[in-house]
Amino acid sequence: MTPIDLKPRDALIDTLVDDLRPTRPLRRSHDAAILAGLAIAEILLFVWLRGMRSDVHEAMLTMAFWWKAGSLAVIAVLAAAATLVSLDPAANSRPGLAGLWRAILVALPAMLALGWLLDAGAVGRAALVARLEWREGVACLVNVLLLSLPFALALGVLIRRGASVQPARTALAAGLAAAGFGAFVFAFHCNHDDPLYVAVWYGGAVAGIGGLARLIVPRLTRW
Amino acid sequence: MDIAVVQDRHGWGALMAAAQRGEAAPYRRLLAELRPWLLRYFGRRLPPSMVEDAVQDTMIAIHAKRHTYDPARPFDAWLAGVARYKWIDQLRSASRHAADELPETLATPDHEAAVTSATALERLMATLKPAQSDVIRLVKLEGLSIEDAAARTGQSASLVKVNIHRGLARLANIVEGQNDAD
Repeated sequence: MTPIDLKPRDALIDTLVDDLRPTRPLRRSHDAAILAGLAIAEILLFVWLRGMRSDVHEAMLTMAFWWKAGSLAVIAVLAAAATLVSLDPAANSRPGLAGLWRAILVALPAMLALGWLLDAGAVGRAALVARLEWREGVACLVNVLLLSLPFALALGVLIRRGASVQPARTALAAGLAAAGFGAFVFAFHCNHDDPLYVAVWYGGAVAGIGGLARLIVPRLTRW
Repeated sequence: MDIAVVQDRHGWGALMAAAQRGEAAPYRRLLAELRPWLLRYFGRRLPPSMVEDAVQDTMIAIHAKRHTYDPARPFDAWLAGVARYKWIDQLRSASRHAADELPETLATPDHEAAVTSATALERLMATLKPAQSDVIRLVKLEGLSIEDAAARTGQSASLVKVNIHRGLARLANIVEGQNDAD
């Protein structure tokens, strides 16, 4: 008699076959619809609770308003798309995902540069510190963080269900997406369009949440 | 990639599609056929002592993540993605257990064979500093104790551990950074 199991492989295959149940395949369009639905629900709820920004009609006539909303939407959508595509182990061998990573890398500095261009045309600049209005800025950070949490949670569940073979990149993209959505929602209420303010506080929130996600999410989604 | 030209070389894509519907017989056949493929895959990429663990771990991952396979796409690319992820995972976890010596039963008496079978691993190790690749080869492939490896290389025992840890972690990073490993 030998105490060593000579065919552990058969036992493993038996166990796995016994555990076999029909599965629901990954559907990217389904996952994307969940995120879009969440975004709409959060915008409606937030505007109902906190109200639309008071000067929305004048603001809509300025470039800075559209730059801010547009940049955040582009970051959110690109990063969310990269997250969802990366959940398939075969995704690495596809050109689409690499294109999305590159688009994100190009989009982030492009948004900032555009803001700087808008800023260069601004007249009557006060002291930089005054323009930052740090009290409101910190409130903005906290708001964006809170508003990004539902997206982070939803993306976390999707990542756990998926199988990213690049966990760090997926986590960073998910963080950028959650922060982008959260900031986009907050932009409906916040009436700061100064590119410097937006770059520092919104940019800081997006980068900070992306970094946090990069640190935390891989630990929770190991497979 | 054009879906129309996707080939299902071993018929594994069809077997997995059946498994996703809950059909046990095709699933059993798939796992039985994947096992030797995985043994060969990890045999070329890991020290012999780590191969069986890697194979079983990967089979469990294939089971847990089987819903992420899209039957309209090639199964080989999906399988390669999962196996490569687990390869990196095994290198990382080995680097965390750098000081573990091989159990006597797993240390290969035939050093030559053990070293040459892990061809992809050898190729990778050539990119490491000799101080790192030497001790990985001695302890993880040939099964020497830390002390013996220290005596053989002139490194202190703690330096042997550090070099194994750093070397394996670096291998994991190199593999992760490569876009396609054969």
